[in-house]
Amino acid sequence: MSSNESFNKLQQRLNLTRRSFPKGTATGAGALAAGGLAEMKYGKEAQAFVYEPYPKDNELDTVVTSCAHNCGSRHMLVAHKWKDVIVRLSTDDGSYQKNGHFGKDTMEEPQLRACLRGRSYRQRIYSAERLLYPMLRVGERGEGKFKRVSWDEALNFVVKKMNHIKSTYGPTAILDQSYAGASYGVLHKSDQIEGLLGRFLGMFGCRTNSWSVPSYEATTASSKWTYGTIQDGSEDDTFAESKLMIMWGWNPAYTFHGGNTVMYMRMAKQRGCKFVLIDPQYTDSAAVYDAWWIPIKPNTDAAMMAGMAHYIFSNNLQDQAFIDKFVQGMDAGTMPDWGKNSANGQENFKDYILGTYDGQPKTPEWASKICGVPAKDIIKLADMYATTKPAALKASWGPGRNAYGEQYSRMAAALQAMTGNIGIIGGCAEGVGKGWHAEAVAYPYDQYANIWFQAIKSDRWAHCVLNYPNVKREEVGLWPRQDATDGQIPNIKAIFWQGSDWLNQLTNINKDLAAIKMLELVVCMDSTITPSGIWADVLLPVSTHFERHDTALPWYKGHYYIHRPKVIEPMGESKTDIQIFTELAYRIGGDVFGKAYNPKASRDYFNNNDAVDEAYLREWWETKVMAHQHIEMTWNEFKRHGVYKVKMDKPLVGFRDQIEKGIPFETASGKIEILSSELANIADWKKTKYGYHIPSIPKWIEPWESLNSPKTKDFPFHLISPHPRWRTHSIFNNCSWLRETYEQEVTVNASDAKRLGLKNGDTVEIWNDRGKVVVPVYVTERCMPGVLVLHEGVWMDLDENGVDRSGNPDFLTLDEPSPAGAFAYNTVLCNIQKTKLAHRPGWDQLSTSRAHVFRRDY
Amino acid sequence: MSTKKDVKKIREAVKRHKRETYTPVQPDMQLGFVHHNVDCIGCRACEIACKDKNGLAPGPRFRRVQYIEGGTYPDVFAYKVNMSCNHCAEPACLPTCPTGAIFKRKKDGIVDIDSTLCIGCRRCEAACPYGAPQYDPSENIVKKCNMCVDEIDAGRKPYCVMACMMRVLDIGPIEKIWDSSLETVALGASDKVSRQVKNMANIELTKPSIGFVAHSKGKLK
Amino acid sequence: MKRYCLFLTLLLLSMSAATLWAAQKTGEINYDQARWDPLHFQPAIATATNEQCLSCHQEVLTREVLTNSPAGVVVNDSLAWYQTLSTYEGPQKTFHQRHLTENLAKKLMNMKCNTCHQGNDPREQAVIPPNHEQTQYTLRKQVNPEICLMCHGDFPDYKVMGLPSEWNTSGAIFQNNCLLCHVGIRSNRHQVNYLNAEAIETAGKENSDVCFGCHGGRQWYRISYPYARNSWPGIAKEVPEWAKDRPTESNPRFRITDQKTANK
Repeated sequence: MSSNESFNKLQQRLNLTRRSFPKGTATGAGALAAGGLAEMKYGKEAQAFVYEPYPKDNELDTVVTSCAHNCGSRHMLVAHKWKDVIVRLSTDDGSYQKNGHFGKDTMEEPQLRACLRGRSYRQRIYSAERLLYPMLRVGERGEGKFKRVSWDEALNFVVKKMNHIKSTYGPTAILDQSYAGASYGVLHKSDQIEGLLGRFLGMFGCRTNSWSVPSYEATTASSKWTYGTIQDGSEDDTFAESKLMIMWGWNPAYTFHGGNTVMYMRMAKQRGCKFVLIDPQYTDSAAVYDAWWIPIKPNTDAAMMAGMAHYIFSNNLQDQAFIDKFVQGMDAGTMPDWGKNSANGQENFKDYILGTYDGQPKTPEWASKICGVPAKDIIKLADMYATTKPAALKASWGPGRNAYGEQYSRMAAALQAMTGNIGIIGGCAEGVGKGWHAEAVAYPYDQYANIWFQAIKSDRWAHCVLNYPNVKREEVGLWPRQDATDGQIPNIKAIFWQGSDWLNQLTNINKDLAAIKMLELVVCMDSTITPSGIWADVLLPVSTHFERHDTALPWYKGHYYIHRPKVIEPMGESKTDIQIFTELAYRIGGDVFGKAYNPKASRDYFNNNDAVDEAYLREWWETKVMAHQHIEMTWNEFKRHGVYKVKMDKPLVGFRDQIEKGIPFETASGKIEILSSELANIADWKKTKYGYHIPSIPKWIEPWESLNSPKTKDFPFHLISPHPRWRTHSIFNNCSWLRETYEQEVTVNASDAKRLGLKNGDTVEIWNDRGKVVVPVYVTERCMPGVLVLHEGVWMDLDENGVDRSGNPDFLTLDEPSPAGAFAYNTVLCNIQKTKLAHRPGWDQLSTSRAHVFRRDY
Repeated sequence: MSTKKDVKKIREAVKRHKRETYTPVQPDMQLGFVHHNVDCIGCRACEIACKDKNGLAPGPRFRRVQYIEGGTYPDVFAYKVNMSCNHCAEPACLPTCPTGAIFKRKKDGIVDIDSTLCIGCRRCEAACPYGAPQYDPSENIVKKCNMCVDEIDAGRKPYCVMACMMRVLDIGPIEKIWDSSLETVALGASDKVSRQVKNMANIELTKPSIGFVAHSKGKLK
Repeated sequence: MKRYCLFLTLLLLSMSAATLWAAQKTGEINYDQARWDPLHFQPAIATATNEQCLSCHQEVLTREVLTNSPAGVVVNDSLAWYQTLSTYEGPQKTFHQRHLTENLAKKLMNMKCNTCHQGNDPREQAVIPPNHEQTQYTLRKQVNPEICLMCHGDFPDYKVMGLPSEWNTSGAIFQNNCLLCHVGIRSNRHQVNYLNAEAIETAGKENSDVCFGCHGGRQWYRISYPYARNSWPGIAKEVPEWAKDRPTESNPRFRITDQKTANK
């Protein structure tokens, strides 16, 4: 075998290229990296392996690191590498932590096993879509024509444009669309509000911020109003203690959502916990936990909850002692004195439910007409919930991504409070669900952390750009300012994407595409080419978290830190985000800006960052982790182990201290505010970030699109777009291992399909007045009639008529946020029919397991 | 050096041996997999871990988590059946191989394949009742799960087992799996192991070394 | 997608995406639609001709075994078990070639693609709902192994046949001639549409390796297929114990349409 031939074979076996076409001229990023491995010697032992040469784990270097995306979980990855090539990844086996050993997996220190997405990371690092060099656009915007340029040329271009835009259009002209896609670490953090980009643009003096979070703005708003904090979660091990678990729109079998959430829930099941799922789909979570499935019309959750509340109140099943002690505004007896004199604080929740104000008692029968759940089931569930202790009503984020989604989240909090399931182990106040608090910031954090000149609801940017200056402040949800610029509509002329694929991920993409053509600068910083990046003017290659030094922290559930050393050298010419921003700062404002942006760095940080990054991380560990959290392990010891698992004295339960020790809640009243003090005292809604009225107590509000809407005449199906299991939003969409496990397809109920003449595998078009997408259909009994399910995040692929051939649901969503800021991702009516239009999955389907029987080019 | 006569003798011996009925290796201890069909969330992390471990291109899937569903709305059910190679007591793949690439280990009964000896006739693929041997069109050879023998020999467990977020996949001596006495969190306290589930091929064909905790709808009467 | 292609080209990255998309655009291959072609499912697959199947899946027959394995095993120097039989001459062949295009296969058998392949839904992992009575074992692959078992099983006990040991070692006593006994002791089980019963009869008389090739040479499975007990002239009145549960007619799919001819 010639050396070239064996080299190609090696590449294929290591699967370093995205597609292994026998005749492919694949010499991508992976080929360069594979050089190290080609030299590798291997002994001829009397053992067979699937392929040779076969490097065994014990012959490779072992480096503990983690996955890095904003999926709500964070797990350990262990890189097994040869020289500078990661040969494979494994995960926590219990042996890396202090006093660990192979197989150690206790309730107190469980293994942090990575999911399928984390396990496929090697395909992302070495993908053909990897961005390796700075690129400048040469064709029309969106045409996808770029040329490779030097860093010098790319950065100078950006600097020149930034200066011009700021001096011409003022301090609101650059829109910060950073998100958590690239870097969730303590040092290299892409974050919507206080990340590295926000700091850079704020210090530069030109930044419009995007304030609403696509994932969960309904529940953050609700938790802040109700509890005064988004830290409303219990740690995942407490789920094992529940006697009843109501998964409201929650599918942890897809999202995982926490270190070991799904595993602890299995323990609960083994201990006799009963599970209920309220969801338009019979999800895998329902199957695993043998849940009672209650199918519900999308975006009618608050009505069903109101019906449950009515049953509980009218049968006097509420925990009145708990209400009297801890809750504001649940009933007449818990109303504050100031309420009757306030702008919106006259009503209490119980009287609303009983119909005292509007003459309409929110009975289970009333609710049933709205949500489609039989009244007897609403009663049965309400009775179960009110009489089982402890019971966890886990109100997930999905049903909140709706028109008036905050009412669903608030209504859930009211149920949790009236049954006294807050602050007790096995109960649940979530909500946001954030549990243990990690020390999260190692990068420079000071008065410059979050400077902004205007802030808008994130999905209103296109509306703002297209209609400027004829835009009302409430239309874009302007955040109030304390100076003369309050209420000024931002004149957006540029977008910065850091770790963000928002063009593919925000609502109503067709409107976004119209708006982006009007901008003067679009910068995309990412480690792979993304559908958004195609529309950029400048592509700046960012090294992945395998190629830079950091520490990972859980942000949702779990209590641990995982060290992330620089496992391999940055690929191509990629740089870290901080390197890029620091260099831009030096180029824009010389030593003053440069030093202020990155105080520990010197002028050559762009080329030498290791010592500075180490210094930031060590300082963070010693002055925050060790000092604040009383963790005794030294930085060097932590680096040696690669992981630190915090041992708790007792399971962390959200609001345990408030309930057990009487510590006040962080609200104005110190109580659980079912009547929100903040909302009750708002008189002029236009001057708030909400823009529009929000009731002070949870209420059912008819959404602008639902199966009860007259619009169903033209668009009879309700489309929901939940998170897929096989991507983190749009990340990993290009990984063939993951693509092999699923297809982008629309789920249709079997009786609907029969009526429409659809069978499995048919290609359909789904459309409404906002757009059209083409996908294959999956027919099943596991979906509610009238509901279509299309997972978010697939990479858009437009044909010449603007039809999306990939099946991205955000061509159908509406860019109208809920007053509190929730994205209405799941408030979509549409229609569906068989089509001759082509679906393009965007990858080589011929590679799938059963396709080798099909003729292909050998 | 062998003489011409010796070569002839050897050829005759080989020929005779090839004509003999294959007698399976009796392992000192047979390892097998156990999978909980109900408690598996079907995430396929085991599949991806396996692909990464074995450096597989898209196409061959040594481990296959299969999604089963049924019922009529709203009374539906779903479960998963997870299989790779079952390291059978009487492997059908083994005697079909014209180059002797497949063998069964005496120590633990693992059926291993040396794909470097494979010529791609795909006979083993056809013979296996469970679809374990996987054809890799990019190399024109067949590969399959070897239970990560390198990991087992190093005192660890296969990648798929160590990848399971739910801890519902494990390995162990197959007799202990079948009588539900294996100490593993894959099995709940009252779980009983079945050797076969619905839609799985007749286990008498090869006597596969695998056990399942079956879903009530997947149990054989 | 034009812009992706251009972009990838510029990056000098994998060309495969462009190749695939180009192929899809020309309409030659649309995998997405082709795999859901009705021909892949019942009822169309039941009457599918080999020509129809092979018009797409031609590589099933054209693909050859490697000349060398990756480690250098030379195919022509190795001996497959069927090459030890006097009935076979020639190089090693792939599984499908052995069943469909080899001389002996063509002479003795009448196999078609749909003798084994009865279609399967690529989206479903099993029949819905799961049903063990239906023999669509989609938990594994596209073919039901019971079909394989019809030829690749093993009569479990040589003693029942009155042999002193396995045929390998006792054949010589019987002049290596199966029909020495089986000219009398036999049913009409070769009378199925995927075999050429008369050709088997003739060939079996000439050379017992013909029989041996299917009946226990290097069998796949160590159990036997419960063949239908089609009656034959001189069938015993009493059904022996081992045949108690067996059907009395072959699977309708394999019956020869003109039963009179078949039973003559």
